Formats: sequence, structure tokens, C-alpha cells
Amino acid sequence: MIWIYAVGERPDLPLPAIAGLGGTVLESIPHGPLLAVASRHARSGFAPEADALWAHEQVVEAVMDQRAVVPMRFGTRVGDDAAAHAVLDAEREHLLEVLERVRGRVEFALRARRPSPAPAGSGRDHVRTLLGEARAAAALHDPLAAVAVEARRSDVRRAGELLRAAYLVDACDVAHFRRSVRLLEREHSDVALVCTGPWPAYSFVNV
Amino acid sequence: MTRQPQDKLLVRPPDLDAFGPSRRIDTDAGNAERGLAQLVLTIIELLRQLLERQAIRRVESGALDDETIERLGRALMALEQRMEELKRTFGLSDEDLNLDLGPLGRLL
Repeated sequence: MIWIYAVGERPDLPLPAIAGLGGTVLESIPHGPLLAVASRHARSGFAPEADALWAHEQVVEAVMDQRAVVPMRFGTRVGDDAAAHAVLDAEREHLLEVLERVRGRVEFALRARRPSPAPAGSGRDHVRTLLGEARAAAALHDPLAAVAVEARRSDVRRAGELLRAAYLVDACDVAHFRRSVRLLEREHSDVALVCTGPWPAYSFVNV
Repeated sequence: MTRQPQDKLLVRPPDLDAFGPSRRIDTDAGNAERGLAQLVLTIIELLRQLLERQAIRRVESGALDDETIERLGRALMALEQRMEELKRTFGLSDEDLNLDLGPLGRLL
């Protein structure tokens, strides 16, 4: 099995000096202007556990320090070299397009929770509660989306969750984005916020 | 410069547990029935949230009169209650509904 960490540009550049999953040696699968960063394994996969997830992430970030990358989600793998080349060939235009879109940009993830209010007495009150939640979510999302190049909101929420979103931010706006998050945290003390990043642009690559 | 997972946390509340991941769908042979209930309820919950969002959009557009808003609100409340009953019937909690597939992506 060949495990894929990322697809990047500049196949002429050497790979970063970092080990792959299970301490394996990273290898490059060049294909035209692209390369897949990969490692070879006898086993069929890795469970999504903390250490393995972090090892995958570290490889993607090390490659991202050198060049633009399309990060692959944990678990992306192909059977052999022929399969890897086939994917790179079929997706070539799309991958090149995505590389341009994420170049020099990072992702931040945000989740916001607020305790659910007591059940409403009337239909009208219930609608008012829902409207209040929608507005509270927008009050968090809109200022951050304004700093980001692109923003995505998840349609799905769990109980008590106001917002789940990802932001694609230009490297030069990262400090501005961080300040905006801290400001929101102070302004909305009734909301529990978790913001993580910077990440490779996992939510903006559609692969 | 070594990077640590905790360096990724920009802001966090004192209690992080509420943000924990969903439980994975249970696919053990002995628990197939429960796994199926989990899957079906997840899909119903996704549809419920979709309906709720559409309703809110209609209310926000200002096109609905008071009586319609009251009826809509009651219908949404009833749906929410029914969902709670179904979860209780199948012994599933909110975390069991697999709305978030964790590192493997999301359902919607």
C-alpha cells in the first residue's frame, strides 16, 4: 500500500528530512509538474489515532514549508505506483488549480457552543430562539470571513453548537485573524469558542 | 523548532470535553442493529436541521404572518421532541449520531 500525504508542486525540490508513518522513509512520486509525497507499507492502513494523525500532519506541514501543497486527508492511499500516476493524471488540472488557490494560505477551524435555552412555551418563542442562534452564529462568522480569503460553514450542528466553520487565510493576514478571534472571544463571553490552526487547507481542496 | 499538537489551539474554553468527537458508527456484527439505528437517526437528524434552516430563512425574509410563524414554530418543536424520543427509544445520545466523521471527513 502507498500512503499519500500531499500533492505538491516543484517535483525538482528534495523532500523534507522527516519520517513518514511508522518511521518509514518518505518518497516522491513525480508526475509532470506535480508530485505526490508518499510512503510504502506492507500493512493495509493505519487507524486514525492521535500519534498517527499527528505524524501525517507533520509530514504535510513540512512539505508545505517548502512549496504549495494540496493536503490529503488521513487515510488517503493507493495500491501501487500505477494507481498513483493514474490519479495524478486524471486530476492534474484540478490539482494545479487548487495549488494556485491555496498557495501561501492556511486554514483555521472554529467551533462555537452555547448552552441550549430552556424549551420555548410557544411556536413563536421557539422561532425566536432559533433566529437568535442564527444571528449569534453570524456575529461570530461574518467578522472572521471578512479577514479570510474564503470561508466555509458546516450545515450540520450538534445540540448546543452555534457554529462550525473553516477559514482560508493569507499568510500575511494570520496575525489579524488571530486578533479577530481573541476579540470575539472577549466580546461573546456567553459562547465557548475553540479555534485551531494554522492547518494546511484541508477544507478547501475538495479532493 | 518542534511543533506540538497543543500549539494548534489558538483559543479554548476551560471545558473542552463538550467539543469532543462523535462516536464512530458501531459496525460489530452483534451490534449491527444499533449501528443501523444510529445511521438512520443520523440521516433523520440531518433532514431535521435542513428543514429548520429553511424555516428560519423564510421567517427572516419577513414574508410570513404571525399565525404561520406560530404554526411553523410548533411544527419545529414537535420535530425536535420526536427526535429526542427516537434517540431515547434506541438508547442513543447526541454523540452517537455520527454528524462528524472526525479525521475522515464529514457527512455533509
